[in-house]
Amino acid sequence: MDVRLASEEHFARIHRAALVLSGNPWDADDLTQETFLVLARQASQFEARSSLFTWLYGVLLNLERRQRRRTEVARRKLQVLRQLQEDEPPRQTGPAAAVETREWQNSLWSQVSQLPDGQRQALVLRFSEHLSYQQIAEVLGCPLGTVKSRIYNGLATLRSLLDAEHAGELLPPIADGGSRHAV
Amino acid sequence: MPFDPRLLRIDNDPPDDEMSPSPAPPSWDDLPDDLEALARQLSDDARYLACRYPAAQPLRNTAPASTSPFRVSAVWLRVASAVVVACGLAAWGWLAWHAPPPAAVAPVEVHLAARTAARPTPPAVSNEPEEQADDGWLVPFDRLSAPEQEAVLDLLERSGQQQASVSI
Repeated sequence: MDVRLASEEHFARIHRAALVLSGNPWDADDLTQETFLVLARQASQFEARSSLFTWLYGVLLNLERRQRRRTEVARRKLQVLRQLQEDEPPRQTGPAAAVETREWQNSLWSQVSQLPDGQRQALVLRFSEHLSYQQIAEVLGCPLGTVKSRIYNGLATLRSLLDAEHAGELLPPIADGGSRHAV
Repeated sequence: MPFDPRLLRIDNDPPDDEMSPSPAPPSWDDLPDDLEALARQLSDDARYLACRYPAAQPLRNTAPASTSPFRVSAVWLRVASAVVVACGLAAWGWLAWHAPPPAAVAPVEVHLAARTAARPTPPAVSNEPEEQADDGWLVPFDRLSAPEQEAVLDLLERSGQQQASVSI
């Protein structure tokens, strides 16, 4: 398999999926590069039982899930530190970061990042990458019915989050530096 | 549209129960209008974000390292260096093995020894003409002191030459 040709063919779509999954362009760049590094290292092990781009999506989803867990752990540690240092003033963010934060806050995908992993990934593959249900089932390794259930329930949960936000109900606080927002 | 629990089945994390899969919800076309509107908005947002933050250049160095021209030239440079060093060592070894025997140097050693032995002695009063001072480092044997003469004779003996007869 020609890794260079594969990367040129699928780089843009993997980057787009990484962008809506991670919530910021820096993490998206890192995730995309890591995905194709995995491809470069394991190209000989790819058995072509599935199409290449579904295999790449699977790698991307695994990498992104791992990164979220690491970020969550780091965020909790920072929370503890901030609680210990409450007298220190909050850090000032630059103007560029503030603009991108507003962009992500206005985007619906910033709300999607609050959903469970299964629903979030299914929504990304369906409405960002426009994969078919069969292809999504292949990527996620689950039955077709589960894919449809996750998509439906994901949209429903998203709807409920928006309704709650518009109704003025208190949502769980979003800590600074969370994984779904650029600082 | 407010949340209507009759239409939705909210699970925080739907179980992946492959043995009894959950009943398939309506297809994409059968979604309620509000969910379909959400789906369309998600697609539009994804398209906008992809245009706003386009992908950088794909990886350029994913080719195996061995095919990189710079890498190939570096390997050949190492090979050439190793060959040069090996040839140099072989040449040095051959020259050392075929070096001339040390005996050929003996006459020079005799003269050098004579000159060295002659240095510490005070300049002897000589009635010889001044021209002989221009002979350089050749010193007549009879002008050497007794220990120096013995040293010269030892050198000659070592070199295997016929011992010069000296009359003291």
